[in-house]
Amino acid sequence: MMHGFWPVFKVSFVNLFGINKKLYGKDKKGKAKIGGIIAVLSIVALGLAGLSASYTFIFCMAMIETGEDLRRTVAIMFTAVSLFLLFYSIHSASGEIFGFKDYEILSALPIKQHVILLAKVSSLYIFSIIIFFLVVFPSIGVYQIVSAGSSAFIGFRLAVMLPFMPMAPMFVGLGVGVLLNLLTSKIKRKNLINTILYVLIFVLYFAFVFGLSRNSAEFVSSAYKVYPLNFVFVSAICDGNILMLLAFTLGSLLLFAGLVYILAENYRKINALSQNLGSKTKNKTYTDGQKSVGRSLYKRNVKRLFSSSMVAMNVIGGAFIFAILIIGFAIMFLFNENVEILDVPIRIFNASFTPRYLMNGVVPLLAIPLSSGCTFTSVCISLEGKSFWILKSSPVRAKDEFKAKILVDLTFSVPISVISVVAVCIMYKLSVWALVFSVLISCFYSLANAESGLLLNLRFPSLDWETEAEAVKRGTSPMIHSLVGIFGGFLLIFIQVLFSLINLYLGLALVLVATIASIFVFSALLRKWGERKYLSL
Amino acid sequence: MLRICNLTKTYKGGKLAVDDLSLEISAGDIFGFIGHNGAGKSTTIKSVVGILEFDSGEIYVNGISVKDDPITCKKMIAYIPDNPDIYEYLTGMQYLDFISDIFGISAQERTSLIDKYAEMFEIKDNLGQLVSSYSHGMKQKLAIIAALIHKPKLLVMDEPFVGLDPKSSHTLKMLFAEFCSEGGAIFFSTHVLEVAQKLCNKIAIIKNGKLVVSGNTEDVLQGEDLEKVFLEITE
Repeated sequence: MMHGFWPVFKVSFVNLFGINKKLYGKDKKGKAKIGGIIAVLSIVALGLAGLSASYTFIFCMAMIETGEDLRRTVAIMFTAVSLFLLFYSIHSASGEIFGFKDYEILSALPIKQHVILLAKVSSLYIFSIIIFFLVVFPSIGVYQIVSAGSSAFIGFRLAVMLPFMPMAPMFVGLGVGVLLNLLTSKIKRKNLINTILYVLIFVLYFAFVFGLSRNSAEFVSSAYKVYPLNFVFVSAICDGNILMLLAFTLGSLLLFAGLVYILAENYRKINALSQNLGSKTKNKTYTDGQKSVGRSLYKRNVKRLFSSSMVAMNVIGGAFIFAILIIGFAIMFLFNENVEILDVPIRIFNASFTPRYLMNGVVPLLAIPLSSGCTFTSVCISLEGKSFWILKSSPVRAKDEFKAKILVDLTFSVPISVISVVAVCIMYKLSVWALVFSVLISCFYSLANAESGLLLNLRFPSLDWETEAEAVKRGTSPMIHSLVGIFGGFLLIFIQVLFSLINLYLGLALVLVATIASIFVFSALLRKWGERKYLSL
Repeated sequence: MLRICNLTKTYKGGKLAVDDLSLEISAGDIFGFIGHNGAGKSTTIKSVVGILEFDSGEIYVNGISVKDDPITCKKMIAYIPDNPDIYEYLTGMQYLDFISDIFGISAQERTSLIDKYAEMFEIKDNLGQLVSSYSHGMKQKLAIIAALIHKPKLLVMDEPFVGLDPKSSHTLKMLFAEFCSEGGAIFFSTHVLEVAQKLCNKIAIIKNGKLVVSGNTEDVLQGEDLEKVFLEITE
């Protein structure tokens, strides 16, 4: 019944992070690079577990203060992971589960469709299990310690439920992803519409959640209410309710098995639609007229960005979603909470400050993680893939192509960053200086981010990919770029909070100067090293 | 038109792909480049068109060094690879527009040339579709049209006849003749020895990165069949 599962799964798995190519390729440092990848992944895993434990602790402390049920911290972490995997599954549906490049080879083999589907889904499933393990287990551990819980079997219950935890989010996510693809398969700008629908689902969900809550504490409870499985999960884990445990495991298994059955039965049809087979779109067959080289390069790069929803979501989706969350929280707090709390002085180290005063120094720095959410330049060279010969054999200067790619990145990062941060400044009536720094840091940091992304991708290009997911999600360049940008941004925010106690705007000025200096450095590096590296690829 | 002087290229890992190769191609030549798999044909071709950097030697296109002024050289060259991975997210027309913009071809001129070649290769009705929906042969045709519309002086091709239907192969051969009669030169690699023997006025055979024989087709063959000469040389 499962004949062929293991070979198909193995072939997909060895390509994860380009492991097989590094093992058997001509690059002598390939094997050493695997060690590097494992080290980076280990650090990320530890970081994730640490973050989960820290946030659980903070939530627990807050709930002890307000006298709320501590089990809600478990619910919050479970919801957070489940939602992340749900949305991740939506856009994994196209390109990884369906419409992948080796579909025709696999379909011609004596392997059942449901086995191929299961093998493809397995990678996503294993990834999901690891994420659940890294987030939920530390969270439960902290909850146990803080609540002084004495259940010896909680670990056993967790171990039993772990394999079933990803099933419900994957069921919903893959189902929605497939439906999105089917709905948009005949539409002219399918990938753009797909991306917009994906963002819309996200926005609508959080608008619904924000709408349910009258304040930030209720937002937490709303998230708990909106994900139905929370009640079952918390009852099974924290209360040891066997019926709930059985309901969770069997229910998840039935949902998932049902999904696999339906998708397997319609596998060929869905793949045909994903691959545009036989589609005859009514695109124009006449020329667009002459454009300058720069404009032509820019336009092509924009089309590349939106050539698939997976690329678009991975490259600019993070920034969009983060911007929506920032503005959403800001609006919710402004209209629902007691805003006067921002002007109530708080004492820190013998000094008295209001939260609004501190916001003047911190809000402009939100531009850093926002801009870092745009990672187009960190994958733009890799995305050229096997078509790179076109640019290499054309009379296109490397610097012109660099300019086009950087401009595409800025087209999204600057507006997202500026609009979000300026909106918060205006909503909370922050100072003019906060507004000025917000605009300047957004613009300059976006440029530094774009240039550094390009340098990283030139240093770690990945041109031999078989699926775009390899280039966009698993490349070294986008991983380093987004992690450094986002974590670095939050670290700078933390440092700025402390710095603000000495001088509110000095820290911002230093960040601005450092950003401008780095632009000069990156530009020089691109000119002196980048162009040569580009030509040698 | 094209002069390759002592070209040497070694890949990372120590593989000597091309070893001290020298060739000369004049205007009006149809130059066939023949060799076994892994002989160094694609490496040579990619070095000429600027895709690969080479270790030593020089390559001149109309007297201009590919190393010193690659942009000017590329303006004179059109390259068609053996497996044309074209941007699948563009339509055929969008791709042709992109290439036309890079080479600065006016709207009027590109319209007439695209119409001419698209009709010749019978893909005019497919230009509005995404390249992702094209067969290999259609992609090959699109790559050929993109190569011709900017009126290059030198056509460099890697296995140009692979994937083409018989009618399109015939059309391409006619275009070759027309191109060379107007002063252009063609440098292409092929495994189809009959085509090379019929079409090319000059031939070079490469083996393990080294040029074994080169010159006018008649002088190289000396009345023998190209297949026989090739097998003797490469054994």
